Amino acid sequence: MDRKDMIHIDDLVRGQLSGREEDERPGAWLHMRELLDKNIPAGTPVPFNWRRFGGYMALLSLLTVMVTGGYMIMQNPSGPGSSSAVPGIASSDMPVSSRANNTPETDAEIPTHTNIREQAANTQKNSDGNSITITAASLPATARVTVPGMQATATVNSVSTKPVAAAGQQSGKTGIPATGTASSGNNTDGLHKETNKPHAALSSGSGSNTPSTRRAVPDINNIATQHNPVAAMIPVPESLQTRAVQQPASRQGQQATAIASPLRTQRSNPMQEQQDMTTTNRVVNSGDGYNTPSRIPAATAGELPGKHNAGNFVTHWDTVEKINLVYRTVIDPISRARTRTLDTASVEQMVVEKQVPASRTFATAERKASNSLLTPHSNAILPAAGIQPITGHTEETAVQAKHSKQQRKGRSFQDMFMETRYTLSQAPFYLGITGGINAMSSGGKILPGIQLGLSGELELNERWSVYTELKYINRFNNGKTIDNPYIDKAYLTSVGATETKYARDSINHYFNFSTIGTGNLPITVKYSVNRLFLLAGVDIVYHFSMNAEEVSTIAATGIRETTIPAGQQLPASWNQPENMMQLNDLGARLGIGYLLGAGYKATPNLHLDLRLTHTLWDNAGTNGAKKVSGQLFKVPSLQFSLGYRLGGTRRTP
Amino acid sequence: MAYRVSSQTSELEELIRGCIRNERSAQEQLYRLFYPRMMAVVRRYINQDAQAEEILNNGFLRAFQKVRQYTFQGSFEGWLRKIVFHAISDYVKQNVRYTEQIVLVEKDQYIHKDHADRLYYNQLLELVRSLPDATRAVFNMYVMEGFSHKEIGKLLGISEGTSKWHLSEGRRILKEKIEKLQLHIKR
Repeated sequence: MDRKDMIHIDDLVRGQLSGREEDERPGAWLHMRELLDKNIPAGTPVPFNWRRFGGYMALLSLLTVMVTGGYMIMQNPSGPGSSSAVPGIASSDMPVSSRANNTPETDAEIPTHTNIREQAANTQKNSDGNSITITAASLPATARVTVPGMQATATVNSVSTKPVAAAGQQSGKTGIPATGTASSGNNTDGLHKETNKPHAALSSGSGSNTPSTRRAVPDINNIATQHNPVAAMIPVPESLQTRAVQQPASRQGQQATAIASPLRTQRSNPMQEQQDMTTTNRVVNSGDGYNTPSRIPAATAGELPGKHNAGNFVTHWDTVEKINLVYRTVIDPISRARTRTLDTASVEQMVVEKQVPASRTFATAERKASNSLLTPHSNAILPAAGIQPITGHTEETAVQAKHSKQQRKGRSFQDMFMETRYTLSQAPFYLGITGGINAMSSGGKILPGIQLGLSGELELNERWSVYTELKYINRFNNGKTIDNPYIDKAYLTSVGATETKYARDSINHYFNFSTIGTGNLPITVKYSVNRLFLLAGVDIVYHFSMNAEEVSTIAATGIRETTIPAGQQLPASWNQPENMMQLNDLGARLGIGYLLGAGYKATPNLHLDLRLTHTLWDNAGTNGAKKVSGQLFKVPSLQFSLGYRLGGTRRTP
Repeated sequence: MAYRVSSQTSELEELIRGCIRNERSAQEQLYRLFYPRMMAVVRRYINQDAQAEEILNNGFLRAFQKVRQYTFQGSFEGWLRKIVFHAISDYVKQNVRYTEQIVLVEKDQYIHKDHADRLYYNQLLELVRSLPDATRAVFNMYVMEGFSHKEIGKLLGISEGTSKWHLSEGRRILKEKIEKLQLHIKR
């Protein structure tokens, strides 16, 4: 038998059976529908997309963080780089001591008595992180600061000021104007004349073994003292005591005199917190020949023991200028209102560390030697207004400036973060209840409603707060229907040589409903001026699935006939039913809009407000659902609310 | 024509999206659209009509439950056919017993073209459906679905040798029946 006349059984079956179709058995769909009803019930609302919802929440959180962070930045006038170190105890006012310069490792490398004391002060700071605040009210008119063998007297002339003194210095003698606390490692006679200017930055008390420090004192009418309990407990070596005693007698009559007495420190009023945005303990004088080292002897300022001689390079210590700003936040114990004021400003030198070739060490050391303790004019009390850029910067200075800038940049971000965290941790949170009435306009109909829920307010200060609510809104229908007229039942009426006609029936199709339930989560920023306040923010809404009744009637317009000229084809969709809404299109959906409002605080705990909300977007998926949103949900709504604040709780960090 | 094709494609997409939203009307249209082709697949494996419809409906139910996983890339019919076929193979696996057989040489079966030309679709379908269950399943999977013996073995839980034996047996039976049918027709 010839193979050409034969066919493989596989090919025969494949060719005959493939591509064939079976007729639908009667009732097949009914069985399928029963199966579907059993396993996937109809009318199941659009499944909630948790992933998308999580995305929205993350976006919202980011928005909130940005708003809060932006507010904190605006509230921080010091800006990047302005937060800097205050020598000595001034830095202990920081809530958290986390400065790189305060590391014990660094301090240990400076074997001076001052350093040990400051290290102890830092240890205390690190251990409890509390602020040590001296207030004018609590400060005695004459505060005696005593280190064995020495004493310093601080006089506060005005009780309205709140001086804070630098402490832990070798001299134990500081002069601080009543107009502000200042501290500096650079005290010279040449500049202290201007120290009585209001808010002028001036300082004393750090690195102050030199007579210049004392000569600066007479020009200062208001003298504060040093306030460091830990530093006070550290004895001063004999040599330093002697040095203090050996001050010229002519200075004894000056306003700040050295008298032996115990160092007294006072804790601040708990309601008064002083925030010092500066800290460093490594304050030595410039290596450029302008200032005397305050903690590191001039002979070793260029090279610190145990911190150098890495091959041909040695560690070089030098300083750059910094402006220290100290802010004070006072919380009223009754109203808990917070006021924050610029308290003090000071100028200081900040130490930077740099590896320099060994060949240059000698010159550096020589330069620093000229800034010895015996050079009285090398220490300067620098008023803030009197800061002059140091001219003649060398290449090293430029590098140091860059280094310092980077250091300040990193620190300022950290400061900002810490301060934000601290402020938020201190911000009181008030829980409350809210309720009221609302109205929504849709298609010429007004849908009234009521709302009820909880509110929460995070009060950042007396003006700004973050206000949020979680509430349920129930709106009542007032004759409103969701309309969806469409064309159905298309058929050809005539097919002629010249034209073709087809007709379609118009159907009035709409949905009746009784109520609309909505869950609202407005997150707003609240700005208060006296008793009035404004609200602005986002409004997250979740519209619950509606219970509606579907109605279809033949429209009064009846059949509509369309004529197509000969030669033209009928439109592809001429006999296709138009998109029509279905009950599923009235399902639940999530939306986001805006909220604007204004209100009035009748009492501290009771407020009224009127607000406008408008949903701008929702996650309606189908065309029908979008039509429903357009008719019913994406419309403005007015709400009148009455809120009652139940009480405040201070959040813990 | 191109417009019509794209129109149909978009209509199918709309139907699929309707099924994703669990709309009964869309599900019904999709069911009616693919019922004939999917039922033809099922009928090659299942003799009884009611049983075939039950298996087909199970396949559609799985498809409606998993329709979110369809990415609108590639043929929806191919995707649906795969789901329906898995419903078939599950049934076959549970209900058909296979005896382990080993065949060393696959024997090709040829028939004369004259006999083939006289066969109608229904006649050939009846002949295929008259094969023993296990043999019919393997024969259909190999010839119509294009699976290899290894894949058939995995799907039905049998060895490759057994699959080959059933295929060979199916071919032999079919050839005999077709020739017998032709003789009967000639008379």
